[in-house]
Amino acid sequence: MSAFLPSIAEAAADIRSGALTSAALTETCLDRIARYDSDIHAYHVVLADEARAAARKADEELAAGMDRGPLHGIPLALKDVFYWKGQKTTSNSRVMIDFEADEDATAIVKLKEAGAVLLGQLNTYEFTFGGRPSYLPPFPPAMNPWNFARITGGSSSGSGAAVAAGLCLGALGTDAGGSIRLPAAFNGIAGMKPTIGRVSGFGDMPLTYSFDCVGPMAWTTHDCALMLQAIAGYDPRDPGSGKVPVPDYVAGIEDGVAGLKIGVIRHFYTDDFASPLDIVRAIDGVGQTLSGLGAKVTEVSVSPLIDWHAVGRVLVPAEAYAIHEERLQTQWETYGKLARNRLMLGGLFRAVDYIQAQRRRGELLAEMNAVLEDCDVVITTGTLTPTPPFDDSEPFPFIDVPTIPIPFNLTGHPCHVVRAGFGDDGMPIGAQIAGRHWDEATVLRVSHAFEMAAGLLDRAPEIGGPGGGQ
Amino acid sequence: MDVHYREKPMSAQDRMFEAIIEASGVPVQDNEKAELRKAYTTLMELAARTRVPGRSWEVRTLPHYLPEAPDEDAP
Repeated sequence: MSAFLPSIAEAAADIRSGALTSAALTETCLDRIARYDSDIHAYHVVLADEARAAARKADEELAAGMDRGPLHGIPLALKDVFYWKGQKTTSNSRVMIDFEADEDATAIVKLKEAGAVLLGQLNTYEFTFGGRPSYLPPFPPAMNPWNFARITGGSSSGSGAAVAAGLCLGALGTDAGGSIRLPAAFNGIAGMKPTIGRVSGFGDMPLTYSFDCVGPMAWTTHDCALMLQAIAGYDPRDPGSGKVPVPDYVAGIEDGVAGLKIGVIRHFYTDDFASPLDIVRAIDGVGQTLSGLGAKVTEVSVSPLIDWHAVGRVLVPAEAYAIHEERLQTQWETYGKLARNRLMLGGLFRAVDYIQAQRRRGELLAEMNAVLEDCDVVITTGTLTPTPPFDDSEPFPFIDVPTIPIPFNLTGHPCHVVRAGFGDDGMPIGAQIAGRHWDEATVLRVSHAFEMAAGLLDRAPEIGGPGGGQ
Repeated sequence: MDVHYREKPMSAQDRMFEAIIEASGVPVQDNEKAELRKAYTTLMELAARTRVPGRSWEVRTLPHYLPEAPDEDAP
């Protein structure tokens, strides 16, 4: 499906029909990593021997009739922020360069139980704190496979790049302010930030305490559904984990959108921020496509984007600073310059600033809940601007330009990015589709219906950009 | 002509910024402090936007904390 690799769903079917083995698929991924990742830098660590052993085991188990489900034998990879027993977890920081957890993150436990083949650890911005990539951390920044002169977005930069370049079939990312959805949009793939509490965050190095989410990134929405199914669910090791039943995310994914009510938050990308026309056309086109499929599409309105941005820009750095305070005091020089200064921003607020922002967050949540009482899902753009150039000279780009993913971090609603088109510059454009709390199933259903109708997923990157060496 | 130069007094925001940095115990270098100072003005403007004049004290903070109900009390 990605033109480079089969989708997870296709590979799962082929493995069961005998047309493909996990060992062969894993070898294909490792070959592609060997060929391209010296330029793309999607991976911090490739665990080739471990992956080959896991693939052989998966093939043996399936041959013996032990089927662990659709991820059994599928090569996946994870952002380098998850505790992984026997491996270093660095979050791309010299501060954590020798850190090795003594147990696996719950997401890794669940992927292993599902029989996935874990290829390695993927690139991230240092300590997952957004903004632009930096050359200073231990691992060089991931490059956008569509054009090496543009950023991948982050902080799940390696996850976005690896999926887009066909270096794995799916990846895990984390998202406290857009870190799954921005790289999904900039790399032209699908990525889901689930409802807060839907996926255990145990063993995910935290950026914040009230926003962090773990979620899947893959070429298709259907593949994200398969991955979410494997990692979702209550976990007593995470106090923020929800005791909420996990529905079957795939069962209703083909049900279409006829009769659903879909709200478009258009003022975010037209009035509140003047996105370029190619982005406006692409996002408006998502609504038009869904309308053509029988959904009732209507424009809806909430507070201006700057109000959401303001709350996010107080809360996220403040929580991040609290997490890093002691290390910043004692290891300031060990952090990369971009990361330490971004973290330091959070130390500049007073307690009252934080509390007022949390109160405003409650008001904004009530607004979005009111819209989602009337609408089954809402749509808005995944990014406000074309993919920015690769340039790490600006220390705080995320302060002045509003962040479009942040509303759904503040509200905790599930939010998914799909490829919505291509810009005048040839780069992918992503749309966000968000739904009611715990209702990832409807978000996935609408997103899948759009992907199937729009037919935009056949186009794969010419690695590095036009003439880039693919 | 006798010209008297007077050092511009620090604004309240300047004093607050300097005090917070000093009190933080984080060894921020002077050149990085200058970048943070610029960002601080924007951050304080954003923080001001989260205040709503006349807001009722019934508007509480998120997230709410509620102890888990014992099983026998669960609905």
